[in-house]
Amino acid sequence: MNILHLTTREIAHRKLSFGIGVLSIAIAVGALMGSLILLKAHDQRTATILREKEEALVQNTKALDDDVRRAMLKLGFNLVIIPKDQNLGDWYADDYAAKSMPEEYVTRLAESGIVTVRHFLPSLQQRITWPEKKRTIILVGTRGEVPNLHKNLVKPLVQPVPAGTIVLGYELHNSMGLKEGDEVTLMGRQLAVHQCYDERGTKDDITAWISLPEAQELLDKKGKINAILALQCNCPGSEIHNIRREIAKTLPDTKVVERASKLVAREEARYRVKAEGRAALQREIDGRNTLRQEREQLTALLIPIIMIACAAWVGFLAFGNVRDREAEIGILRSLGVGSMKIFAIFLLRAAAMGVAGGALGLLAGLALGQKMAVDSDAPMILLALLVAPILSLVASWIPALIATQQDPAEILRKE
Amino acid sequence: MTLKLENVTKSYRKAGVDIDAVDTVSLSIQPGEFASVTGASGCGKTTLLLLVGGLLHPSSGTVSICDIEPYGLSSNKRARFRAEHIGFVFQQFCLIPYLDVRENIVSAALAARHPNAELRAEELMEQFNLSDRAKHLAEELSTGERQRTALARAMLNKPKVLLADEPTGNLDDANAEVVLKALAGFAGNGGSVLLVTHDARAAGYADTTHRMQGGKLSVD
Ligand SMILES: Nc1ncnc2c1ncn2[C@@H]1O[C@H](COP(=O)(O)OP(=O)(O)O)[C@@H](O)[C@H]1O
Ligand SMILES: [Mg+2]
Repeated sequence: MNILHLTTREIAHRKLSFGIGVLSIAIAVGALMGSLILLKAHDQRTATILREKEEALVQNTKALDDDVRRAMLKLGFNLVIIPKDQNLGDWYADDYAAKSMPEEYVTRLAESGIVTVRHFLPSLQQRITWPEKKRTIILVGTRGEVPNLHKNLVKPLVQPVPAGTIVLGYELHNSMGLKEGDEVTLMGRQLAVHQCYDERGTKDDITAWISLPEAQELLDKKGKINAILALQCNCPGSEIHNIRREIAKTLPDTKVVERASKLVAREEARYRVKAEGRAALQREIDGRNTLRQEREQLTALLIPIIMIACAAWVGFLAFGNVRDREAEIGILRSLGVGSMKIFAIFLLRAAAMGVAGGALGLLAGLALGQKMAVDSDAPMILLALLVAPILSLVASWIPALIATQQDPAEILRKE
Repeated sequence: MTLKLENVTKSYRKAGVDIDAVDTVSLSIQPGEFASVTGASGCGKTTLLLLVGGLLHPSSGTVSICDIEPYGLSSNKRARFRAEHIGFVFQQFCLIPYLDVRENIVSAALAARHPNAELRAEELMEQFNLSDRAKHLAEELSTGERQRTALARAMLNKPKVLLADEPTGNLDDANAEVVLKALAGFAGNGGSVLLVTHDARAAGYADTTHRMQGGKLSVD
């Protein structure tokens, strides 16, 4: 006979009271583990959400990138190279540069090895009053594109206007009743109408095109041009600044203006979407963190309350056990059992209750963890296994001390 | 001399008045002697027994058992001394409710290591006709069987002194006789017995009988 045997027999005898104690400890441990698992589940869920959102963001941005790239391929990207000292406000208002630059720039550009731009089209434009007709037109001298020598030669994009001919916009030939093959006089020069354009609804309708050398002569700007169009820049939007740099390097006293401003807007929109996506992601992170903090605070408040309530209850049960066993304490003392051993008997029971409750709570916690797909880590398990016996021992300490203070003479005289 | 009391007094203070539950009692019991103390309820019998058993400090006087004064020992040593020298039997049997007969008897070995406790328990169950009750809980036993179990438990450690407090108080004649004979048998084997009771039947088995009244002891 030893106290372990005594304790197992006593527990078997008072199953209910012991069981209630075990259950309350199990609930406390279960609550503790449950809280830890919920917090961990929160963290895992946060990680998943953020990963998904991040992926979605990357996907969206990629789709936008592709979109812009496709649009650029389709439209080409048109840049206009104009003299550096050209006032941009005037340029936008008139759509041509008052300043001019040497025509030879085009050749320089074509030979420079800029591979991002496929064609260069020199032109000399000016708004003039057609003296013979007394009306304002835009006169464009063009010579057809200069293929980029470092690119494969492709079919010319713009048909050059043959010398001695003129191409008329809709408004011009329509109002003057001109058709292909007719003769007109422009600033005293006899020209044959080479082509009459259909209505375009743009300034092209009041534009007349002649060959570049003739335009230079008529406008008294020999060897000069005031714009080079760079056509079909098949380049991703992010490389626009690269093109600029290349051109600036080759022709230092020019500047580059974009024609297709819609594309620029689109590209800017794409950056805004990206930035907004990032901001939304950050808001999500902040939101999840706040939620986590709130849950943590709740846990930090709730768990001690549960622990204290459980300890109070286990202490109450232990005290009841001591009361129930008063006669037993008396008889054990009369049999020569010392007070330390009495203490040990009650603490052993408390430890057994703690271990059983802890194991039960742990099992419940593990089951919950499995259900929520959260791995219960070793510290969590260790905590559950340690907390329960400590809780039970602390709660039973005073009742066990009271047991040792019972006066056997007093008990036995009452019996 | 196995047991010797000299001028032992135990007084309780109650409502400002000192009550001498045991009043200057001197008593000695030899090895092999069966002494009985009879007296009305409340005369101090249980108090006397607890004083002798090392469970209640006397207010004055000395108690010695086998030449040892238990109240001169530390409480741990006194507990050990009780386990080795003294066996108790009570009117209410005081069995541990969740242990069976065998375990109740062996529980006397809880205090001190007793290598042959199980064997000794078998002997005692045989002696007290409890062998077929070995696995029964106290509540499943008759009062006679309960008291025989308590007796067997008191004798497990082969004490020098048996202290019995109204052991026949709850028993019919036949069972009372078995218990009293067992006490007489213990004395017959060289032990000392102190039986306190108001049961007149007990006197017939004792070697020496004492009367107790108002805490004072007188030889019959
Ligand atoms: N702890 C105590 N406090 C006060 N009075 C007590 C105490 N124990 C016993 N007494 C008193 O001492 C007397 C003797 O009691 P007890 O020894 O139990 O008598 P008996 O066993 O002969 O019936 C009684 O009057 C009882 O009230
Ligand atoms: Mg009494």
